[in-house]
Amino acid sequence: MKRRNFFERVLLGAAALFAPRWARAQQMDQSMRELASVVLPGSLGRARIEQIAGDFLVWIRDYRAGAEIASGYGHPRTQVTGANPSEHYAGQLSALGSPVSREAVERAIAAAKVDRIPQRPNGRHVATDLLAFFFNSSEGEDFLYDAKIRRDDCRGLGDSAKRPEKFL
Amino acid sequence: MTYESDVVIIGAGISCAMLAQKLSELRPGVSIHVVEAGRSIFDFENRHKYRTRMMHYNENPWPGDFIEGQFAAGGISHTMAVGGQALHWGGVCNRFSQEDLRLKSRYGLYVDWPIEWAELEKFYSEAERRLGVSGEPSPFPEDQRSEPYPMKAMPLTWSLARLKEWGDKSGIPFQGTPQAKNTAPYDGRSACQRCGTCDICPTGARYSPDFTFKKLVAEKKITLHDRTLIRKLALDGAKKRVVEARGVDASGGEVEYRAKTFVVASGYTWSSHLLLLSDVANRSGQVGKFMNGHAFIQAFIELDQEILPNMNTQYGLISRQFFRCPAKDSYVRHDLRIWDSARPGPQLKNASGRVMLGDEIVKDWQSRSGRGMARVRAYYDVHPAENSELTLDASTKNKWGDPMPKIVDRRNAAAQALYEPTKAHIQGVFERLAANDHGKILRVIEGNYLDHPAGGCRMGADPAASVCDSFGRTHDHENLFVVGAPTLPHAGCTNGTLTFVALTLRSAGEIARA
Repeated sequence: MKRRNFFERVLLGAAALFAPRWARAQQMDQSMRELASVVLPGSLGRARIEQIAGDFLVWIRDYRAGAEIASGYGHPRTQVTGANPSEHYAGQLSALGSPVSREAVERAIAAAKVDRIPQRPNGRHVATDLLAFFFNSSEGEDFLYDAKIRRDDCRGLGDSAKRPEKFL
Repeated sequence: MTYESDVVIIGAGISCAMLAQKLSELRPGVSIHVVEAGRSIFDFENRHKYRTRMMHYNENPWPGDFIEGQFAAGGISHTMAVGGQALHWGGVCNRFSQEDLRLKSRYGLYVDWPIEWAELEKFYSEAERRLGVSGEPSPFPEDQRSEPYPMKAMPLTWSLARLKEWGDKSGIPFQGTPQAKNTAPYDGRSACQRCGTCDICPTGARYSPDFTFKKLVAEKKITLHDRTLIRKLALDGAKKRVVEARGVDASGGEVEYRAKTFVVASGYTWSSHLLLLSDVANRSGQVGKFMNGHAFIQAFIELDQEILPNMNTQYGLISRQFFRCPAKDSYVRHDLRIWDSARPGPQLKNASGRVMLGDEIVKDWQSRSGRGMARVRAYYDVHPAENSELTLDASTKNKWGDPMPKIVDRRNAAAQALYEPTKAHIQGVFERLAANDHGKILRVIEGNYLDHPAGGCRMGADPAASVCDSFGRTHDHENLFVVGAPTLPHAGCTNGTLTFVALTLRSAGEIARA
């Protein structure tokens, strides 16, 4: 076999192996952006909404099932994180169709019997998990209070006596 | 394997860190073995990573800070690592008050501590110096200090300044809570950068004992044996002296430590547990008795102020106004704390049950969230009954077959009788605060556990009613000391860590002489 043929075959093999995964990731990315444009506040602006959708996908990717949970007082035993909440997201996103409509999201939330935005994404439904991800984030808090509190940043002591600037 | 040294300290928490540091200064060249059941987590360089995982995924910021199967029923933390519970500590450094030491003679309640306030006060100052405490003087003359705080107080955030104005309007003076957090570079650690995650401080501005241990190990002032569980203290034939501490190391191999002096510094749970397992220091049957902590009541109060949450998440205000009271009939003692609080989060459904999405959610939240929110808490003094105790629970054993501890808190009769008047008083204080800025008490919650626990090896002058003297020397064995939280007769009405450390520093002089 000529060297060139050999490398072509290797590349084609690798593409066959990774293409479905890549295609699935692309599909998830697209669907998440569509969902975000329906469920997140439009006043954030399109660029921010897309960014949040992307951040949520990164959060899902980096989630570790079975990791020790932070335990303060009142938790004398070790607890661990549950399964990745995104396990059923692909199916849920697919069921919403494309383009994602508000009606489809409302029907899905009702079918999943979710009544409140959870404290953290819990896998009940991707739409409410995305809301949980945003509204419980530092950026979500800043957006609600319209102030750049930046709770996740190390901000120094110098400005702590001043009211934070407006967020929007 | 057998090790020999001058001093063996069992348990590597904050009390051990302070004791080992001071002993090595008082007795240069003294050989000290520190033996800790948990592991060392000395990877400061990873703290940012751990912090990020905690913030985003609620993961433990001190991974592996526990021993599987080594748990206490009724305990409130499972942390077991070099640094102990002070790894997670919020850094609050409040002093007790003179009244705590004279409950019997002033009020006819519980017991007096076997130590004078003026004596303890000196060691409070030393503890503040060693930990690096930032704070401002109390406005009450009774809280007079012999030395200023080593660092100026943490500045109040914009929100806390508003809450202080609000609190002060009720005639109750508030100030920033003293904390072991640097407001300027101190002891080789940086100033606070207001990261809001004091549970794991990524800059090292909040004191944690791993800094002291790392330094002591590097300077060869101690030999640290982590992942080594001491299971028994063995006595000589006359049962006067401890001759050996026996345990297992990380490989499961048996180890023995021989020394002139043994110090148990294993916190409120594991100190009593080891003494009970070993059947030492317990001629009077007092080991594990009088377990204590303080009760608390908390309220969320809405008010007409713009309050932004999380500007400096773990920093808050304190008033010491209620640390003292006039007589037994009106005995209520508590601290009073205020923190900014986030308002309840956004909702998914509106009042008619329809799902809201996008900006609807925000508008709905704004319609319900126009006012500021304060979280107010009072830790109040309660006194333990003798059978407020830690016992060995034969039904739960660790992998070496040792029964695990079980803690049951019980209040003595006087404390039970004081419960209703105390609750009514604290409710009155909350209402007094809420009387300003159109405050409205939304929720009042009573704690269902005793916070900042201590006890189990109570100090006292009478060997029949205590385990050790005021220096922590056990009444039964001349070369065995207990230090820190277990020695406290009761937990006062504010955080105990500074008191644990102050008492330990006082013990250090006696241990050095021994």
